[in-house]
Amino acid sequence: MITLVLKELLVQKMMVGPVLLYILVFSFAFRNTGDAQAVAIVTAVGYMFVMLCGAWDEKVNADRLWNSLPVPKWQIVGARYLALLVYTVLVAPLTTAVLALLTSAGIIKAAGAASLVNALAGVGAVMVLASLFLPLYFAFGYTKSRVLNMLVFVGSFSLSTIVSSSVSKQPAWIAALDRLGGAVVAVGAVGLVAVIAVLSFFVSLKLYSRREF
Amino acid sequence: MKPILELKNVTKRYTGFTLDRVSFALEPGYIMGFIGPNGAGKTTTIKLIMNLIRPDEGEIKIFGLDHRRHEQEIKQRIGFVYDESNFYDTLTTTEMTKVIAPLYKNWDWAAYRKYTEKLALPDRKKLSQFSRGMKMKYALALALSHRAELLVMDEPTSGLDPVVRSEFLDILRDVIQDERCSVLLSSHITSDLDQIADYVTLINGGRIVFSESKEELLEEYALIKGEKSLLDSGLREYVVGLKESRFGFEGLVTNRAEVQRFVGSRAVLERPNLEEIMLYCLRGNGNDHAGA
Repeated sequence: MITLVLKELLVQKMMVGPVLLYILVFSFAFRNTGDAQAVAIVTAVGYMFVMLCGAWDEKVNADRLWNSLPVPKWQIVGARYLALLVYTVLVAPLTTAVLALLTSAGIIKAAGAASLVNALAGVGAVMVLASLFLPLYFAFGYTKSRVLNMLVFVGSFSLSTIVSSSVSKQPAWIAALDRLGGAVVAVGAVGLVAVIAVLSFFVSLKLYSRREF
Repeated sequence: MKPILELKNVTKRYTGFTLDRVSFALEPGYIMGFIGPNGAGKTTTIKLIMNLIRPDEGEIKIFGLDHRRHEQEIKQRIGFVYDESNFYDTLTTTEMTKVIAPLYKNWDWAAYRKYTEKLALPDRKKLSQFSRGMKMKYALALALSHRAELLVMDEPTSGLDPVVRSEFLDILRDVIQDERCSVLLSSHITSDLDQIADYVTLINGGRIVFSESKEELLEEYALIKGEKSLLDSGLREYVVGLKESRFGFEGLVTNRAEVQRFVGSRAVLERPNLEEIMLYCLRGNGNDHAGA
């Protein structure tokens, strides 16, 4: 399993290398998103990782290789989730550092956004997005799932817009969450993301096990 | 002796193509050439053996084990080389090997180094800079570095130039002699199999035409050339494949010894090669009046 995670990261050397550049580009691209800036950057960089992993595997027909090797399917599927988690957890503090540096240099204003908590929220966001996309990817392969990915992406952004607009009206459940305190909400959010990712993993595994190569 | 690989009535249906009740067996320590024209079902059969696709019917046993129930155990003992490289171009051979090696319990770094040296494979070069021949040689080195008991190869020599092909086959032959493993080698380049195969299985249109020892095949079949009148004197019943022209005929006959007695000095009998056996078996008795 660790070998497969290493493979995902090795194959994406081109993503790992210039990650600073991506963070810088997204720092400017998302400069008007306020506190959500770090979340947006980590989500974008993390999601690029998911998509590029899929593209490389498709390019070399990697499914044929991995399914010919003595590797159980649950490890092939699990490695993708785990690699994404490792990658984005590494990207999160880097994003915080870049935003803090850019803010202190007066290049952008990201005082509120440059917090590790915000960046880690991005890890959660990308895990949720990937949890929606990866079952499609493992069921249909990269090319077909790209179309469905657009739907997931558009759907997610529409949903987030709806959620943000409801937040601005401060519904009762938001107030209730406020009363619970930051730590409880964070633990709850981590738990919720973990449940979504685990459920997604099992769906992906079931769908991948049905595929032929 | 128990076969190392055994297929019994394996069927796989697709729209427009059916692999139909395929059965054959490979004994330990032998090389089986798996031949047939493009689209005959060679790759489908190999995918079934590697459990990349599921059979609709039939049974596949590898090392005497059900190939699906014992998939991981079996794959520990199989080496494979496919017709195209499935390695990541962004990685060097060292990086790719570091990913693959830990997956095998019996990985042997000394063997890997021996083969990469023998095959002149650079370790710091990216796979994107490798030629097709080098990628195939790298796949062979990987397949041979974990003490595999069975090598499954799907058209590994297709698209390689004659020099690299010959080098590839030499190494394969050396390995079989040294390591005593079995090989299933699919190819439509029958001259490769003339050199190294012990058994030959011919598939056409999803059906097995024959699966026999190469020596028996070469003893059983003969190329025959003669006058057309000979055909109508009772020779036709021995003819497997035929090419007629206005001057005479040439074809492939079975029961070589019997045919020799039957025709005496009226026709010339020659030892065929695998390509001629394959071509005539696929051609059948239909007259195409070649050279007319």
